Amino acid sequence: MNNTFTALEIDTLQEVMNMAFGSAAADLAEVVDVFVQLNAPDVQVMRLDDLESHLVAQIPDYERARVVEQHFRGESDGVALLVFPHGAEHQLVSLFQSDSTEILESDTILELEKEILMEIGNILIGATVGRLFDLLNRRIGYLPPRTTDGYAVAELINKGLFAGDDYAITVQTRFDFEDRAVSGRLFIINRQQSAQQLKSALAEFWSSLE
Amino acid sequence: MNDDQVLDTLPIGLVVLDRSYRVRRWNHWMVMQSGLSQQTVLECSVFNYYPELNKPSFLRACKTVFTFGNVVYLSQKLHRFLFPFELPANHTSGLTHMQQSCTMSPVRGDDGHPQQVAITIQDVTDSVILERRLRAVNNIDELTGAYNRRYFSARLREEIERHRRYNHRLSLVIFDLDHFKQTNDSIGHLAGDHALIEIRKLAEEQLRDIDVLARFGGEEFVFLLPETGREAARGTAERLRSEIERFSLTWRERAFRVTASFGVAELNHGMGGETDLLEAADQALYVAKQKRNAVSVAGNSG
Repeated sequence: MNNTFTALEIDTLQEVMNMAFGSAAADLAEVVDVFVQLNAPDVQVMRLDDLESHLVAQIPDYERARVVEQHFRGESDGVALLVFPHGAEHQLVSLFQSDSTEILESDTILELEKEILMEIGNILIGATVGRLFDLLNRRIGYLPPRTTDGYAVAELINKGLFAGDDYAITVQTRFDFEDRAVSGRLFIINRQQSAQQLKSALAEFWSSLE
Repeated sequence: MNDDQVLDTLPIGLVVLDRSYRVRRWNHWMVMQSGLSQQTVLECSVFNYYPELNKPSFLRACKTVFTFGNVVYLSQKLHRFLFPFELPANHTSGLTHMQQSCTMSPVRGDDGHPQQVAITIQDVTDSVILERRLRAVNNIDELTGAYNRRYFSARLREEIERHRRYNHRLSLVIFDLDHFKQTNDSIGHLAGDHALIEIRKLAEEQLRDIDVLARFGGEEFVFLLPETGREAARGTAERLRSEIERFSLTWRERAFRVTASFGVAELNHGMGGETDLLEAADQALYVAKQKRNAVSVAGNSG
């Protein structure tokens, strides 16, 4: 089974991403009442063995970075990783804090920040990944998000999500939140097992444009 | 058994709303908790009966479901509850409402687009009460009821991080009861325990809600004063010193008094972190201890 992607397939994926993220930005502004700038996504296909060093190079203070990890299943399988620099969650709290949120105790403050990060992650991942697979006419569902850190992501990569010589498709974009000096990066890593499904979806998309 | 009967067997709430927030389903669990029958609420706006839901966080969650078609998780930690179901008045937890963990999922129409939102409501009140009890056991000093040192250390780290992020002032005060061994030896250890409890109460009366008081060990307490410079901290310490000096304690009809010495320090840019701040306050306490019943501020002579 050939899991490498042709130049045409990667170009098509890039095109779908551009479309998905373009519409997601406008909808995000309406949903979260703040303008979120979505930068043009950068699609790359790389060997899994190279993925960790790629993430380390892209994300400052990688091991301490705050990561929202959300797996998706269905007609495509993979994981979305929304990566914020360490401490960024403090900046985002006021954007997403609930009207009924009470801060009661020390542990709770940290937990609240984690919960807020998960809500943000859920919305951003739903907006972008959801749009991507909508365009590809593939139905996916999500597992609940969880927060983790760069170190745990490395563990995730190294322990079982992929085989070492598999290819990972990374879609990287940067979110910039208006008036907040914070940006995050989104990586979508497609499971190798669903590479054929993705290739089929891209072929269908390509033929629909012709 | 039809679908409605199946949904009525669920031990969780299930509400389905359309894009106009009109109720399309309201299962048996919701009937029991709300006291509102299905006939009453069906086809009505949910805001007619629960105006509290008409708030940004709920509307944002609905928009997320309708716009992106993804599942939204409303955690108890962040939202406490969605539907304000009151707990019985004799509930001893201190909670007023049922704590809820909720999900909101899209229900798609024939065109594949989300037309309705299905909300599940899970009662997690018992788990919250258990968690609070465990947290209290972990964070509270058993004898005095003040926070313990473990909790204080965690809060100190957080406040120092906040100080660095926002450049807010932060002061710390350590105080120690004078000649406490003599009190224990002459009146008894139970009298000493009683004194520690009463001093904790006195200290809490002098502190604000945002301040953090902890028993640091033995007869030593510490409190953290966010948004406070050293002169204001000295004022707080001086008021508490004076209150303790004037306070008359009684143990088994025997009256006695205690005094306390205070060391005050403010976090400054030259300090590396929590250890430096604690050491500065501790050195100030050492100076105060030379006089007893006194307040000393780090960086000030005398």
